[in-house]
Amino acid sequence: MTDAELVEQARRGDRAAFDAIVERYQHVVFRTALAVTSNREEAEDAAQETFLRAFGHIGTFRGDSSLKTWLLAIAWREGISKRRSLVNRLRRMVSTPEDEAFDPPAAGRTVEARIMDAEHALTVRRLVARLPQSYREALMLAAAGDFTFDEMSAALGVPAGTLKWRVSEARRQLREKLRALGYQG
Amino acid sequence: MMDDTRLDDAALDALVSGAVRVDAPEGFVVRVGAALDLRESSAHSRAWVRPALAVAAMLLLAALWWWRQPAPVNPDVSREARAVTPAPVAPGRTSSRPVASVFAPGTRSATAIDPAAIGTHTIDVQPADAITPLTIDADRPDPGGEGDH
Repeated sequence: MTDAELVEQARRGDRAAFDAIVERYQHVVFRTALAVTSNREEAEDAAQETFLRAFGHIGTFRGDSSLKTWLLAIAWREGISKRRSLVNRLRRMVSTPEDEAFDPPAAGRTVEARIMDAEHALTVRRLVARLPQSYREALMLAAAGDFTFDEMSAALGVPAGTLKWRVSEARRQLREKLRALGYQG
Repeated sequence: MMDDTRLDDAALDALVSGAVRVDAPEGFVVRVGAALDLRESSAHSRAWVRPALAVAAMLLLAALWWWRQPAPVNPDVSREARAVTPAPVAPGRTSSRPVASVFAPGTRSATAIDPAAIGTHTIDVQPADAITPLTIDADRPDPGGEGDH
């Protein structure tokens, strides 16, 4: 079933159709929220709030943009709202988000390789978390691979060229930091 | 560290993607569904709140309107209250026009007073010759010595 058909049915109050939308876009929305908040718990809350808001406003979705882009825009706003909330700011003061538990890539890897993967990923996550906010957000969205630059541009209201430049700058800074840690390139 | 890793863009993207490409937690769809159910049910249970608030607001407005209404006036009292003589002109005022203009709407001439509306009662007045005139005896000494002060 296409997005347009699901939206049409959800608009008529069909919960099953909306559940199908959640099923289809849960990971995309979650990764978007994670790019903004850099915190798994906040990202989960923001992603959930994104779908609740989308359900409440599904009638206003005109189809000018794709459903994915529409959800990206909502998730982005929800992520920013979560990031700015006082409770979450206080929570971040007593925890280090980059040290959160990480899901290592699973299937077909030895235990040793998975541990190494997890260690490398943790290093990268720590370095990414220390990038300037606008660079980090653009890099995480681009690296997740869920959106094209044009989709990101349409949803966030930032020119695609600006986003590309931010990603390029984020890569450069990250590469320097990784080299300083012994990565070669 | 990964000293065999070449950090070209592709390798870097792979590293970053591996680090940030995290899926939503398991059971996320169920969690969202439960949150939607909760929201719908609470919205349903709160459906009476809005009409109740509207009725309460209307009652409050009605009470305010009733409270702001002037109290009913006894016609007799009202007539007496209107028959008040004009206030005198303040001492030193050369012209009574401003004061008169202030009191003009409420003044009535004496002829307009209905005698029947005025309560009357008699007062016993002592005749003037029955009152002993006050005299001062100059020869009598001052008992309190008040004059010494």
